[in-house]
Amino acid sequence: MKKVQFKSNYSQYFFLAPQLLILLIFLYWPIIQTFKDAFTMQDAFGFGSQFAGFDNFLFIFSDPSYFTAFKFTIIYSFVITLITGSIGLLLAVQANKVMHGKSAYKTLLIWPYAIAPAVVGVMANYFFSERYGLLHHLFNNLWGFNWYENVFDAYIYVIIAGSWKQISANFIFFLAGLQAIQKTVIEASIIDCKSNIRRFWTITFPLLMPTTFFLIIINITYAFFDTFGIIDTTTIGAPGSETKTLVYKAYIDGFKGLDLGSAGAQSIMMMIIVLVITIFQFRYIEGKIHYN
Amino acid sequence: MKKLISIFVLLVSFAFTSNSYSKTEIHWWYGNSGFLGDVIIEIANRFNESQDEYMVIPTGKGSYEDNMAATIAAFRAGDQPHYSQVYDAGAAIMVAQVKNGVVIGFEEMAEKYGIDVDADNYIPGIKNFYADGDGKMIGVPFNSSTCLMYANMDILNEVGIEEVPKTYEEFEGMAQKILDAGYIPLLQSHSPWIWTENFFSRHNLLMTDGNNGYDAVPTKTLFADTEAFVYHWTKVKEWYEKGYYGYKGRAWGDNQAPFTNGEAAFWFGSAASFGGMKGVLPNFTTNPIPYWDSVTGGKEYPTFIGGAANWILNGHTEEEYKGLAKFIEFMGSPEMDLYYHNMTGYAAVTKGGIELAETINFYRASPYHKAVGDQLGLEGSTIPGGYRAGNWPQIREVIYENVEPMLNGDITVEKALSNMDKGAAKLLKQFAKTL
Amino acid sequence: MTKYISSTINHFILSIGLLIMVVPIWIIFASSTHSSLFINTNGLQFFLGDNFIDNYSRVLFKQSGFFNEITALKMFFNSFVMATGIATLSVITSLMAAYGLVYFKVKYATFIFWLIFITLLVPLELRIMPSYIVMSKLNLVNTFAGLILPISASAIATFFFRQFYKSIPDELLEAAKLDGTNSFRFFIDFLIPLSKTMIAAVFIFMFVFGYNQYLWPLIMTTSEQYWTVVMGLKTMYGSISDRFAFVIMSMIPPVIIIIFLQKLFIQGIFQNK
Repeated sequence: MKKVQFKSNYSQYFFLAPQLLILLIFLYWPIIQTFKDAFTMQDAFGFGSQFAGFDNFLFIFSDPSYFTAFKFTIIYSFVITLITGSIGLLLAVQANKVMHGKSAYKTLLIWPYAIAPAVVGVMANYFFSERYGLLHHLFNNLWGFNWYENVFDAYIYVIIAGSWKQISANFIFFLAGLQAIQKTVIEASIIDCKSNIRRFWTITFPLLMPTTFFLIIINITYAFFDTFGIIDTTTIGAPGSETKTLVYKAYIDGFKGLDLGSAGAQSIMMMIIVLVITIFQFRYIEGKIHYN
Repeated sequence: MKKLISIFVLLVSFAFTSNSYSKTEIHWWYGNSGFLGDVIIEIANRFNESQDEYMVIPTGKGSYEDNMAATIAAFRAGDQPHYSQVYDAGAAIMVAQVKNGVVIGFEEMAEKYGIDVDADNYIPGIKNFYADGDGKMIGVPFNSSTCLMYANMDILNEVGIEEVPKTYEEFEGMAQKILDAGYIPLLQSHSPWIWTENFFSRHNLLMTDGNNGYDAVPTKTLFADTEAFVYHWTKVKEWYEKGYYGYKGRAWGDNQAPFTNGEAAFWFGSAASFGGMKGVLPNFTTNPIPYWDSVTGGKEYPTFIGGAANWILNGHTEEEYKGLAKFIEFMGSPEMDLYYHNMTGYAAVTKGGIELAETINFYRASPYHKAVGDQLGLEGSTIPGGYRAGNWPQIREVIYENVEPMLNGDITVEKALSNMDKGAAKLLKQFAKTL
Repeated sequence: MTKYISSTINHFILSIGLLIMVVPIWIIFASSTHSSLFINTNGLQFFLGDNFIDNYSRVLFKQSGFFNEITALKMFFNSFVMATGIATLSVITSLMAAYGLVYFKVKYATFIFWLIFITLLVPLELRIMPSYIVMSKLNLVNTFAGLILPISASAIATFFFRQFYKSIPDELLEAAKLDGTNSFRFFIDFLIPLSKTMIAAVFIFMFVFGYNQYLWPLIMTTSEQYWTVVMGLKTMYGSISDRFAFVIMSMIPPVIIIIFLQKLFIQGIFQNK
C-alpha cells in the first residue's frame, strides 16, 4: 500500500461505491443464486424445490461426458496457451527487431484481437465446412480429415479456430513487454554476450517473465471461457461431447437442458478449478519471476 | 458542467426505457425463425387488423430451446408472456406445470372463456400429444410436423428406380445402384427425433416404461431392450460404412444441404422442410418414412408429431385472457389452419382445416402437403400418441452423444444404446424427484 | 552479410505471420463481393467481384422482424451503444474503485480487494441463468442498461488502474496535501490528467470486450429492437454472400478502434508494466 494516503473519512466509500454496487447486484446476487441452485433439486420452473445436499455433484461426477469436458478443457487450454504464446512471442521479437515497415507489420498483426470469438467461429465454419472449406479440402486430402467423425480432427478444428485470434493478443502484450525493457539493459547485454540467441534466452526472456505470467493467465481464461463463442458457432461440442469445454457443458445443461441444479454444481466446480489454477500460478510460478 | 450532467441524466434514462403500446397487449413468444417466423408474424398481423381491442405482439426468441429458457426465466421473474410456443420435447415439463399453476390448460381456457373451438375438432394424434394423462388438452396444437422422407425424383429417374421405397428393406435393395451412380443414397437430420422417437412410433413399439409415461412416470428407456431398435442401428451402421447413409454432423441444416443441392436421393426431414426446398430443388416428392417390414409385418403405424404447441401461461388479467381466447379462436378457424398448413407444410391440425382443404381440392394442387396428414392419420397403433418423459431435451443430447462414436465404430451398437439408456434413466430419475 | 540474412529471416517470419492473420479475412471479404450463386458454384474466392455495393447495401438495410424495424444497421447501432456504455461505465467505476483502494486507509481494504478480485473467477457464462433471472426481476430485460450493467464491473480494469496508481510516486500526493487539497480535488485535478493514457487503453479494451459480447446479449435481448450484432450472426439466414458481408461489417467498429488507437492502447499497457 502507499505510504501516503488520505485519512479514512467517508469519501472513500463514495469512490468504492459504484463498482461495489454493480458487483453486488449483478455479480454476487446471481453467484449466490448459483450456489443455492447447486444444492437443490428443482424442476425447470423452480417448483418441487428440495434441498439435495451433494446430489447434483454426485450426478455430474458419475457422468462420463463431464470428464470428457474436463479433459478437453485442460488439453484445450494447454495447447492454446502454448501455441498462441510461442507464436505471439516469435512475432513480437521479430517485430521489435525489424528495421523497416515496423508499424505496418504491427497494425496488421494486431487487428484479429478486435474480432469477436463468435465472428471468428462463423468464419472458421466456412473454412472447415465440407462444401466451401479450403482447409477442409486441404486436410482431407492430407489425411482424410472429417471433424464430425474424428475426435482428433474436431480438436484440430477448434484449436485452430481458437488460436488464430489469440495469437494477436499475445503478440500485443509481448511487444509491449519487449519495448519496456530499457535500452540500457539491452546495450549492456550486447557487450556481454554476442550471440543473439543466447542473449535472448539468458537476458531478455527472463525479463519478460511478468508479461509471460500475465499472458498465461489471460490465455487460460480465454480458453476456459471466451472460446464459448467459438464452440457455439463451430462444432457445438461434437463429436459426442468431445469438444465441449466445461463452461459450454454447463451452459447446455443449464440453459437448454433446464437443469439448474446440475449447471450450478458445474459452475461451482469450475470456480474451484480456476481458483486452484490461479493459486498454483501465484505460488509456484510467480515465485520464480525476477521483478526488475 | 450542468450541461454535461443533464446530458448524462438523459442518457441514463434512455438506457432504462423500454417500449409499450396502447391497446390491450397480448405477448406471444415463439421459437421459430426465418421464414416460419415470418408466417407467425403474418398471423399476428392478420388478427390485429381484424379487430380493434387487442394487439398480439409476437417476439421471436431464437430457437425452441431459447424460447423455453426465456419463458422459464421470465416466469421466475414474474414477467412471463401470455402465450408461448414450446416444443415437443418440452411437453412433459409443461403438462406437469398445470398443477403448479404455471400453465392453464387449453380445455380449461376454452370452457372459461367460451372459445368456439371444440377439442374434438383436433386430429387425435395431435390432440393427444399435448394432452394430460386423462386426455384433456393442455397445449394448443400449433405447428405439428412429422418426419417425412423427401425423394429426389430426378435422381431416381436417372438410376431407373420407379417407386419410392416403402420399407427399409426396399431401400437397402436400391441403395447400391444409387451409390454407384455417384449420389448419396440416404441422409437424415435428427437422430433423436427421426430415428429414435419416431422409430418407436413408426413400428408401434413402446419407448419407455409406464406406457410411454402416460400411465406412470417413466423410470427408464427401452433402447437396448428393444430388439428391433438394436437391429435398426446395426443396419444404419452397416449402411454408414458402405456409404449408403451419409452423416454430416449434428446440425439439421448440414444434413439437409446435400439433398437440397441435388446430391442425395433420399432425405428424412420434417413436413415443414418443403418450404425451403420448393424453389431450389426442381423435382422432389414428400413421402412417408420407411419402416422395417420384418418388424411390423407390413403394417404401417402413425408417427409422433413434432414441432411445437402454444401454451397459455398463468398470471395475467381477465381482460388479457379474453383477448387471448379470441386469438386462439382465430387461429383455430379452418381458414387460418389451412393458411398455416399451406404456407409452412405443417399439418392441418383441425378437422375443419382438413375438410376445407379437401373441399377446395387443395391437395391436388399441392401434393407435398398430403403426406403429413396421411402419415399422421394412420390407424391401428396400440401405443400412446406420444411420450410423456421429463428432461427429454437432455436425453436427446445423450442420444446425439452416442450416435457419433457408434457410427465411427468406437463403441458397439449395443454399448451405445445401453449408454443412452443409462444416461436417460438418470435424467428420468432426476425429473421424477421434482414432481 | 549476416545482418542481411538475419534481416531477411526477420521479414520472412513477419510476413508469414501477416499472411496468417490477413488472408482468412481477405478471403471472406472477397467472397462477400460476389453473388451467392457464384460462391455456391465456385467456392470461396480470392479475387474481388462486382457485387460489393449490392450485397452490402442489401444486408445493411434489409428489414425484418415484427415491427419491420430490424435492420443490420440497427443491430450495429445497438452493439455500438452497448460497447460505448460498457467502456464508459467500466472506466469510471474502476478508476474510482482503484482510487479508493490505493489512496485511502480503508478499514476492510484487503477484504474489498478480494471481493473485487474473486469476480474474475466467475465470468458471466457460469452464472447465466441466475443473472438473467435477476435482470428480469429488476425489469431490465429489454433495456440498454440491462445489456451494459452486468458487464461493466471490470475487475481487470480496476486491477490495471490500481497497479498504475501504485507506481505513481508518493511525492505527488505529499505535495498536493501540503497545498491543502481534499481527496476529490486531488482525484480530479491531479490523478485523472495523469491517467489519460491508461484511461484510453482501458476504454479501448473494454469497448472491444463489450462489443464482442456473445452469450449475454444472446440471452438478454428478447425484444427485436435490442438485438445486437450477435443475434444477427445467429439468425441471419440470408444467402451466403449476405452472411459474409454481415460478418465483415460486424468486425469494423472494434477493428477500426484498435487500428487507429493502437498507439494509445499499447502505451497504456506499456506504462503499466
